Amino acid sequence: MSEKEYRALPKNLIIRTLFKQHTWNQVSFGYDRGYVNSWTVAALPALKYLYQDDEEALQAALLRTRDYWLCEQTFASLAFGIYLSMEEQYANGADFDPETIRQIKSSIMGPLSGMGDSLMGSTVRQLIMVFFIGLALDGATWAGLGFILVYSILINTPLIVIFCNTGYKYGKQAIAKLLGTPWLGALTSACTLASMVIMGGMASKYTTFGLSYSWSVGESVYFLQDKLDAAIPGMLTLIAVAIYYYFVGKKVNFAWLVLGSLAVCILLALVGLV
Amino acid sequence: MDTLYLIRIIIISLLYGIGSSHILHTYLWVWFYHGLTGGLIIGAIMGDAATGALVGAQLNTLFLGMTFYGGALPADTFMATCIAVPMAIKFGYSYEETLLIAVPAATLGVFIVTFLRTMNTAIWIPFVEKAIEERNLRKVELGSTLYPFLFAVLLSAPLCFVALYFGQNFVEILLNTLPAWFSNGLTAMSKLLPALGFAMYVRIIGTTKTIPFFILGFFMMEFFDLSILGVAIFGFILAYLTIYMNKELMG
Repeated sequence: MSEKEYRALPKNLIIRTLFKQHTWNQVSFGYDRGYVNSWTVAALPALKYLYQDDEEALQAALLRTRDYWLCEQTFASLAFGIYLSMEEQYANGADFDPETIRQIKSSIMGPLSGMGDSLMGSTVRQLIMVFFIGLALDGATWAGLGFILVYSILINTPLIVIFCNTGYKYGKQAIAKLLGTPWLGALTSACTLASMVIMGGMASKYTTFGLSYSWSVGESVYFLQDKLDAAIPGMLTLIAVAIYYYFVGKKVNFAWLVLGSLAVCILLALVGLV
Repeated sequence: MDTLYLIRIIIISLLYGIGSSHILHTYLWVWFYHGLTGGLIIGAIMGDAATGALVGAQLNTLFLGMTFYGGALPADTFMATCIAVPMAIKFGYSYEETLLIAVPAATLGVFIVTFLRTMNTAIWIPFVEKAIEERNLRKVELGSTLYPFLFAVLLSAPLCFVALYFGQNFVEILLNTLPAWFSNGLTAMSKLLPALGFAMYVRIIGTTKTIPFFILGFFMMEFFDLSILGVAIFGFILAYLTIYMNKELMG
């Protein structure tokens, strides 16, 4: 190997393949393989660069991209960086079994996805979104653009690039580095717990369901909802969440849940409760 | 139906087609599938960004808890936005009235997505597989990008167009023939549905052990009427304390 020069992937090629993966990520999402096609097609320019005219090696490398892949997108970039670095080392003659590339990729998918869902999907994005929804409901037309700017441009894009570069720079050590940081696991659990609290708050604020039934005794009018709120505020909403929780757990289809809700609400309207 | 409206709904249908192909998912999905931004964009196409943004944000609260974990989609909220916002702007329907068509549309949209993914599983993934075997790089490229993309756009854009084109008559008939108790029930449902989203959220993200945290956040809001930021601050402090103390207790 000494006579051959080490052929490293150029920086702009890495970024280009990374965004190619993000572009086509879900376009050919399949149930049995997840986002596998996007991984193959994104890796293609990098693999062409690495293996050049060696068609057989290129084909073998492409076949190595065909494993099931389903992962939260932001954190998936770390895996993509690791993958590129490993392919680069292997193409340059590093002495390891190429199957390791597949094994590592498959083994980090779960942890990365879990972290991504609780950090990005259910905490950071939800919080920023709810903040801008509040503004939009108060009449700020531009709030939708503010959400794009803050979440997509200022937070998500830099993170994607940083993750990919970290993965590429440290290779398979990157994941050990990431998972080895004691605070990351704690941060993920903390975000899950905090997002449960936040979602509870949002459930109270945005579920505005209430009964409109009222009765009068002499001069004064009494509202049933006021009586319920005096007992336990938000009781109805919490009961509704609990009922839905039960049916979601029973794997009842979304469409049936909506139809059922409509039926119940119409029934309540018929008897004059709402 | 005037030409300008026709052109506008064609553009919106195309946008829906592009959205439902999930191209640039990392970006477009975040923008489109949350009514917040989608409403603004579609409102702008309809010539009334302010109404669009408002209806979009209202729709967004309806689907707030329904995020998209592990690739499963409970409701096609982009379809709901694409249908509800033009109706609200063009025909002046209220948010609740647009739900008459937006909620069924969101539910039907899931069938489109499911169908497309089944097609991906049956056609485009084996297609690329075979192309690799043949060492046909051009087919690898196209089978993962342009072909499934066009396939999705050509299938879903016309469906959105049909819903938009006939939606007005549909809503009008419903509103004119249905009695007051129906629209009261519908309004009540629109206020109740967010609870479904949160229940799904708790089911997917939470465990039995973390449900008390949800209830805590709920009652904090009920009793103290905080802002979401306020709940978030308390939530993070509580999460920190829980994890920190757990470590302390367990040594």
